[in-house]
Amino acid sequence: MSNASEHYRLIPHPEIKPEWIEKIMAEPYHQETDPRDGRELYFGWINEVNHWVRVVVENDELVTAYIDGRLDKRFGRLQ
Amino acid sequence: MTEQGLEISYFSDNDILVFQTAESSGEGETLAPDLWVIYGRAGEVSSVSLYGAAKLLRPYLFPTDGQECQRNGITRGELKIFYAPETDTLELQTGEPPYTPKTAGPGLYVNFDAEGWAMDVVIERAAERLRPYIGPAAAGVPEPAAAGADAAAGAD
Repeated sequence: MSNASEHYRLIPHPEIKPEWIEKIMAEPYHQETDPRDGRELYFGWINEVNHWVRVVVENDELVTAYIDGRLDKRFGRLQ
Repeated sequence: MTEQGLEISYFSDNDILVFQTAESSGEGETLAPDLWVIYGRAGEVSSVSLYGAAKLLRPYLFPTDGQECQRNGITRGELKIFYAPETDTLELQTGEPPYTPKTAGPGLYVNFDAEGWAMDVVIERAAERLRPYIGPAAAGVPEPAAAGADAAAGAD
């Protein structure tokens, strides 16, 4: 098993809507790049679920995206 | 590999190891930059994922010829790794006990602190079960990082 999109296809989080991922990547609340491996992290608040969503991209491929409960501690809550 | 109630997957391009036990609800938490837990619809542990798995774990589980297994170390984000070769038990720890343990799947446990945050992952029969994925004969597996490289990398 080898690529990132395959990872997300096989380990999906179906409740995470594709449009959320697109929105967060286009207009992230915060974005950072992992200095070790170039992994890109995008963070965005989704009003629909009142939670932060973390999107992980590597080599322009979506690795994973999920509601990350720990981000409340880091960014606070927006609603 | 599929055991009853547990499926292990490994993605070599990204060096991600996944223990999956149930369907995802899409909600989870990031314990450390390389370690995250996803929950199912009933709040059960759905999956545990480790980024950089071969790089992180090979010195513990599959040392090169003539070397002893590394038993403990700290990587970035304060992820502590403990390995007991006598029992083949691997522990990925991000916080100190006391914990409330929860069985995630066969030989897979996630421990929670008093506030309900996941702090610790315990994997039994670790080398036995992970050998096909990140063991010495596994194909396409990244080599371990140079000593100290992880600790020097930035935190999340």
